[in-house]
Amino acid sequence: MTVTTEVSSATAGGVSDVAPRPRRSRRSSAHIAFLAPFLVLFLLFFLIPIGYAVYESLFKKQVSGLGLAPPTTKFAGLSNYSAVFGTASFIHGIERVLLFGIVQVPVMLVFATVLALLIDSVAARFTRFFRLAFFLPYGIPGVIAAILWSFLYLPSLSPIDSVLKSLHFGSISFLGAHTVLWSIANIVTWEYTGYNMLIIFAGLQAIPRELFESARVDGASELKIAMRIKLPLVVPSLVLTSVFSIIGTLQLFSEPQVLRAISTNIVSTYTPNLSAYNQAFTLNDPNLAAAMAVVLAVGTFILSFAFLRLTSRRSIAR
Amino acid sequence: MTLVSDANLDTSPPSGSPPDPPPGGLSRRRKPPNRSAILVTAIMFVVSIYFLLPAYWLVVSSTKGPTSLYSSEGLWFSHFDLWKNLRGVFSYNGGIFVRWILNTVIYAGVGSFFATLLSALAGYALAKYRFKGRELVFGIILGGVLVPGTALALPLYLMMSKVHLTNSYWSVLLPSIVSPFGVYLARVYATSAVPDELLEAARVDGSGEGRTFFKISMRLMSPALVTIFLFQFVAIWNNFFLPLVMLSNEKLYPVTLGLYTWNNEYGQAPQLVSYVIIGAAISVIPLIIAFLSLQRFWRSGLAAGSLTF
Amino acid sequence: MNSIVGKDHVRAPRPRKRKKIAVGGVAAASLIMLASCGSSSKSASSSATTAPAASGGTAAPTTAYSGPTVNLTFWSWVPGIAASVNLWNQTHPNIHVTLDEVTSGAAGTYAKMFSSLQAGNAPDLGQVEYYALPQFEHTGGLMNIAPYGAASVQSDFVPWTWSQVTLGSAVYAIPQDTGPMALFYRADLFKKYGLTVPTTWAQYQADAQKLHAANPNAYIGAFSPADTGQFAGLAWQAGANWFNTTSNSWVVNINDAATQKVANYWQNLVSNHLVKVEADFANGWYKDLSDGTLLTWPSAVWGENTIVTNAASTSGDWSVAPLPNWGSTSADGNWGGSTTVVFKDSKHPAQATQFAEWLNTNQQSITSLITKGGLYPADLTGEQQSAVNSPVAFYGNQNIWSVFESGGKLVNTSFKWGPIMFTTLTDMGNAFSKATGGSGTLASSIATTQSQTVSAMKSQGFSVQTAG
Repeated sequence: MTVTTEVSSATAGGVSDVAPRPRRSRRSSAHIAFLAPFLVLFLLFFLIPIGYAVYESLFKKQVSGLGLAPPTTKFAGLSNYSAVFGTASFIHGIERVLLFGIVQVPVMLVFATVLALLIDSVAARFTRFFRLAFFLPYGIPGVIAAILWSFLYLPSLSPIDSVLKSLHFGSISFLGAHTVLWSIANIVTWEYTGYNMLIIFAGLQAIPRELFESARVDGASELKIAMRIKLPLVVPSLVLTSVFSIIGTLQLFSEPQVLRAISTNIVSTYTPNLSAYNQAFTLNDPNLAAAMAVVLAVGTFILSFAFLRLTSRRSIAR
Repeated sequence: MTLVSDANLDTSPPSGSPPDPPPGGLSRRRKPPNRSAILVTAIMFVVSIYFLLPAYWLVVSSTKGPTSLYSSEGLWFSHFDLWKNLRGVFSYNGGIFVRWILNTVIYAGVGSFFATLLSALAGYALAKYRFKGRELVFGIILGGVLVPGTALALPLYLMMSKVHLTNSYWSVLLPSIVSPFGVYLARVYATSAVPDELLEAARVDGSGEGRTFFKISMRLMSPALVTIFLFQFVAIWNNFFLPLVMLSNEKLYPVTLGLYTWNNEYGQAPQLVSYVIIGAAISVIPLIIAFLSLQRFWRSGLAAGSLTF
Repeated sequence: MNSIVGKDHVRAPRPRKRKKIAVGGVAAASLIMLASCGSSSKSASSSATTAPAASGGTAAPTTAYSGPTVNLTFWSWVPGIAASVNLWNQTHPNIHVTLDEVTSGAAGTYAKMFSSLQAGNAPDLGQVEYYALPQFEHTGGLMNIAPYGAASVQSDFVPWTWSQVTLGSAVYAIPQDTGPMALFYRADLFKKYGLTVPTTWAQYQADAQKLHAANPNAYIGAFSPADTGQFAGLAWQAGANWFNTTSNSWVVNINDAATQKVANYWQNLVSNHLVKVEADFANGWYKDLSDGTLLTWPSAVWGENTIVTNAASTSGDWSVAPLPNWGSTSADGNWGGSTTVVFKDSKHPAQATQFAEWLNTNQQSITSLITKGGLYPADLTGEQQSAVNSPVAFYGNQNIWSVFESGGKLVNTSFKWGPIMFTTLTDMGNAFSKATGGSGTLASSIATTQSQTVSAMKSQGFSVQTAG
């Protein structure tokens, strides 16, 4: 955590101490009253569930013989964790989302950044319209977007397919064993590019215009301005969008869950989250599911934290 | 990218014409169209087809019945069944779709209202008061930003089922009120937007801490609050995993879960295909309105948040 | 969220594929029905209670319960089952059943049943599919209802169903509906392509080849890898015995010769592109059923409604024939169906048993389950009701039911489900998906499933043998 706090306090500036003496006692209790409602719920719905998941993950239900007696709950140590890491399908799920993230996140963010720069560029016209058009998909909930795209992917229904066919490009199987992951990536890209673009665009808008003007007067090209001035200044926005995208990738669930119905190539362990869900709700092993949830939470935390640490070092060096 | 630099060649006036007034905020210089502007616009136009085409398909398809959906050209209108679909979606199964929309409004509206309030209070306290353990508390909350919500949903379900809270409004609503990112945003914004001098002046005037917060500070923080509200609103509106895990009674479903269920049930009732499509189109409208009407506020709040992350 | 339609997570045998007049409307609809029936329904149903034997064959003990009012809770996802419950409540004022309409078992209700069993607050009664019964039995979740007279209704039911709900002398559930299998085929297209209706699987394959040669875009059928319920039914027909018990241990034999035979057979069809690999109960599949891409569907009795609903334009084109056989022995498989169970913590097991028996043997209740829930009854008298025993216009006025009824009598009674069936079927479905996606074969998937099931059972503490 220290790094994150360093980053924030470094960039947000020293947090001001509220002035001196008067009525110290009353004020010193005010912050508790302000913080308490959030902290109570944060404790109840964030920290305790994590603790509870860790606790549950240390137990295991055991039967004996034919198993006619109710199972007993036994302390299992870390055996659920060794089961999680020993399950090839879960590991494959992790590898799959990592591959997905390595490809999809950069593609989406580059796409979003280019769009933000284009909209911000002086040459752009109809920017209000385009901003809205790019952003629209974000207003469509993930499940709905997945349902929508599932119609567009279905061989017998797909207008994309029929257009391609009529142009003699042949037909594409969007749901094949090797393509379906990228079909999911397309849905995610479609949904979130506009959202990321807006965050980056908001960052661009906050840059004082004088910076560009003087650069322009100095004869810098728009490309140079974009690369040398604009881009470095929106690095914080890019960090934010990257972190959210990494978190989002690792929790991938609704898109594969929806597409499972129409593709024969999405197994019940396709992503770690799908594994955990099925472990709890169809395989009835809440203990193993808890271990999976813990692994997922810790893994996500470490990855996004490592990313923040890496980028903050860089920005400090800068 | 070369297009952009081309733009510069054409648009930046080397001499003669008076310098433009400094463009502030959104207002933008309007120039006569030129080659680069056309190119940039053309590119954005092509890209916007990618973003809009599926939505267009949704609109076109919501006017079709189940049979013409399968048999007609996907990108053009066929037999016009819009009214039939509308009547159907609102009346099917005793009008449960209306209930799903209302549920979603309740989950998202109430949830994000309290999330905003709590985040504002906590962020403000972390920004404007110095106390022991402040950085630790803030650090833990920030850590919460990095923990994925779906990883929490399963443990939450296990925990709530022990206390028999699953399958209730509370099981979805209460966890939605906690927004660590909201606290982060509120703190960052309050730090710069609420001057200490103002707070001190209020204290000198004898205003209580709570009164100061609600009368003065909250107003100053309003762009951040709108941002928090909207993003939490969207997050809850989009949330699928938590209700999927928590709810088994259809009457408590949000619209996402409801449409997902319909999408899995059209084998029993083919008209559901059309209801899913038109239902999806309808469910998107409120969100778009919310974003359009409030966009001036949340953009500035977002800029502040992202720039200081 | 529902397993009814086949997009469930387990891809387990499906109970039924009929109209799910979804949950909210059900109660209202049944109220209207009851209201419109007015007073006559009251008198009719009261006669049904006083003389259940008249309607349900050798039915439950008729000793009417007359103590203080007992309240029972019942979890079910069968559409329209509220009508039956209301009927019961009207005619049994002292035993009130409260129905909780829940999502289907594999969509999370089973998990919720298990967690409430553990917490000690399970309902009195519940809906459980056949394949899931052992998992409940072998975690001690079900009440043995034999002491409350359940054995007396044995002769009311299709024989194989009774062997599914019993373990030795213990009775753990009352059968509700079944899914005997048969072959739905496009009679018109069979004529067009000059195919003969297959009576054996060898002929089915020959038809597939002939058809493929005539029209490469048409297929004899589809193979849906994740739909292990269908595969289990076909293996069941071939004589598979996946699970058995000795006095103190389980015998796991998923990888037996019969199952290997079925797996190899379908693998051959898949490899030679004689069947279309696609997810069933999805819109592409519905379209293929409608437009002549698929000529047959080996399915269960409830599949009748799936075709009627989703391929409405093919009215008059379909017929039903017995499931093709392996060689000369006639056998059938079952796909789907469920039971009513009494959970272990019920404080009123006698009354709960009485309700479970009544629900599934009372002819008025069965009529309602057939027409509203789309169930094909496990009750032998119920199978004779006209709603499931008369010509169907859609199927060219064929009395398709008789095919299923005689099929049901040929279902192997010794087939048993295992104690961790959710895991077994999920593993199998995942392996099949990979196999049809290009890695492995259906046969190797079966071997994988066998070893995965054995090791999962062992790690949970079961004692396990593997048959030689």
